[in-house]
Amino acid sequence: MEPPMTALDVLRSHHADPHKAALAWKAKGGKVVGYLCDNVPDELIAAAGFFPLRISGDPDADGQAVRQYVDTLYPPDVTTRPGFATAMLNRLLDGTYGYLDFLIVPHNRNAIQAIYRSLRDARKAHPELPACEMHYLDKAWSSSFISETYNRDQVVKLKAKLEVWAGAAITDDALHAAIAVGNENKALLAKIAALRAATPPRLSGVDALQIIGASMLMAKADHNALLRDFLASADSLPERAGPRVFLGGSPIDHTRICQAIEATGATVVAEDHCWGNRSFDLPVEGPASPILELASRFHRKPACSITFPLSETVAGCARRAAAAAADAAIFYVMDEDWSQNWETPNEVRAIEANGTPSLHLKQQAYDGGDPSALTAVVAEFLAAVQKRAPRRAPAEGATA
Amino acid sequence: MSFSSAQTRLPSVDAVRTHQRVWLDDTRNRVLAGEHFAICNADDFEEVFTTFGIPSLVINYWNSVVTFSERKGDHYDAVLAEHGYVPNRFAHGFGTALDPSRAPWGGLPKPTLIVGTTRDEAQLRVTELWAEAFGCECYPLDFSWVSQFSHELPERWWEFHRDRSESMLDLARVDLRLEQMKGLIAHLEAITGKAFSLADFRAVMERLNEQMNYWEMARDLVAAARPLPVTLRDQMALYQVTWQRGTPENLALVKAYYDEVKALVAEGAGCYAQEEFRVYMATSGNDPMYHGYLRERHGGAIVSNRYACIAPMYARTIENDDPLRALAARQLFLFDKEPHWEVHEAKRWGADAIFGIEPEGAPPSRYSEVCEAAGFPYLGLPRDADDADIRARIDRFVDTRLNARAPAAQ
Repeated sequence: MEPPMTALDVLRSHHADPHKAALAWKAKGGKVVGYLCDNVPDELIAAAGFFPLRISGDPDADGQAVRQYVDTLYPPDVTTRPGFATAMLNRLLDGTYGYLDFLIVPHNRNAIQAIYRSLRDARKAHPELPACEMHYLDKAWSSSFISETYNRDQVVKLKAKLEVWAGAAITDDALHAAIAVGNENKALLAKIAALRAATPPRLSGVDALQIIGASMLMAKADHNALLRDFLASADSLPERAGPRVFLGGSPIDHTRICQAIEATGATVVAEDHCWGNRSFDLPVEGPASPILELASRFHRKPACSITFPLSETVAGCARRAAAAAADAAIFYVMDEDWSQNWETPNEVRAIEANGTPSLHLKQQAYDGGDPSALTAVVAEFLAAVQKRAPRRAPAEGATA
Repeated sequence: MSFSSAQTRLPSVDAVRTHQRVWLDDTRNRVLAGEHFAICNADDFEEVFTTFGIPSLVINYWNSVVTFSERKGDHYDAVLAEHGYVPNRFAHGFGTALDPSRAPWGGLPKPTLIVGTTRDEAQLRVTELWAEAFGCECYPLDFSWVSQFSHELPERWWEFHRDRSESMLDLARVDLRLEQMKGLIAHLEAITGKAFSLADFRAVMERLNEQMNYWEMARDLVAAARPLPVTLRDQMALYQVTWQRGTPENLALVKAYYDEVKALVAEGAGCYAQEEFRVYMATSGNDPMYHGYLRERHGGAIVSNRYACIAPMYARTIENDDPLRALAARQLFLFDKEPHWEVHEAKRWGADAIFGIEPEGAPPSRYSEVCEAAGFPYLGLPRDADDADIRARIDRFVDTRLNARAPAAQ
């Protein structure tokens, strides 16, 4: 008889099969709302009675559906996109997400927002493609009050659309409850972050990414229960030796890069992307008006990494690396990730100014390419780092 | 490989080229004397700067000077790479601030501010980094062509620009843009100590409309004339007048071009030695490198591309005495790369075929299907080059799709 699954096993299984919880919800007669990126207020979706499911890509897919159904529609200069965007769009076209009832596409980086139009045009040209009703969640990127009021209106519009989809109003009570569950989730995930940023770390980066990723693939209340269970015995987790690495660069919705880094014996103690620690760093504040508070977070939360000014993005990255007391930083920047292309050199300079050596990997593949090659490059870099300086002590009271 | 070209350059277009250099020299001198200067994206805030009397440089224009006119793209690619970036063409202007020593025309003076464009996230970052390199302010405006993503365009959308542009847009976005523009105008008033005059601004917008009227009249003359009186190269060079819209100088330049075109058409002048068939380019590129081969080997003439038709789309009728709202709406949508529009333009130019850019080995594109369905043989080339492979593709296309056709009924 096999031993029962631990909480960590269950969390890993949801990360490995991102459809598992959503399909179980569907089987019980519920409806699933897919959404892209980490700034869509998923509490609103839950409060409307839907299952919120963050869309992710498949690093093994070859992008054929995108080439066939979308790239043929437009001139080639408007169809360039980083691999993670291609991977998500591919799954939305190839039937993998055929069970979605609705889809929300936020106005984040161009490659993300273009998914709305791409799906609409592709379905018009190919009526056989899977289709669900979509909502475009617009966002002003600049940080002024003018933009904040605009972004509030967009969240109010989203609420109205969800109410139409649900056929019922979203009550303040339901919203308060969803926010409370979401805030508890963020607080528990902060404890997960602290476990791997501890000295020495008690959790691998790969496990942390699976735990964090699962929070966007299953009901938050179920995720919270698993987190509480896991954290209850966290003291018994073994200590991890090896260099402490901070991972910056492009958003990565799979664990292969982290695996390749940790194959050197290092631990990825924190990262700076929206499938990792950044996804839970802004709880909804205050009890006064739930919709205004969600709107405020929507406004403050970077659209992808886009926030103005750049210095704020750079400072946030350096702050995360310092809080995790990283010995070294690795920036994995995907090909066609033009946003990150212009941010990373400043981030590298800021982190190196803090005394943390960095490795900047440019024009990388979404799937991580040959894992042993990546591990070799990282091992060489970390060996040079270890020769250069002894490990630094973590900052007092720091969390990543 | 290239064929020699005996094309002449129109004096009125050379005047545009000269004007641009003189304008930059003059701007540099004005800045040295303490005046303000600004940098912004194309189709952005130029008309407002003009009203303030602040010379503004358009990023795309400066990039094209660096990359195409002065052929310094490779150098600035290397400069960007040295600073840790993967180079791209949009950042060549930023590169000139990192290494002013080899910048064209002596380089740019330090601007008062750069308008941070959020047309996409990468452009926002480039404008921020550029401002950082200059040590000046970056003022961002939300300027995504969001309606292209969130709204379906009406059929024959290219007929909506002048009088019905708001019907193509998300009106909440127009309101947002308007509020942000007012914010930047107030900021400029504080910086310059000058009051912004709506009446002066309206005059700029009306002059812009007049400028585009002349452009449109000249374009229609050129498109209807046989043989073609103005080369694609000159048509593209003329586009520079759109970078300073609504100024008396640029209005005069376009009017002079119109007058010259009228005279050429009256003379029956042709710009190419032969015109066995006419090709419309469904691209945003320059005169393609293989054009010489196409002309010399097959007698084919590339008569225009989409830029000839984009310029008039800047014109806007001012409704309700609100020129600022007219500009806000214009800024949110100019054009879409869409094949029905290109077919419309190919017909205007009396084209026999349409050329486009298509990735190697890709399945048939919508461009190809729409053009072919409209009766235009379509050739998708993988790149703009004049090499044996491209020549072979052109030869095959001309032999099988154009030469094989029955003569058109007269």
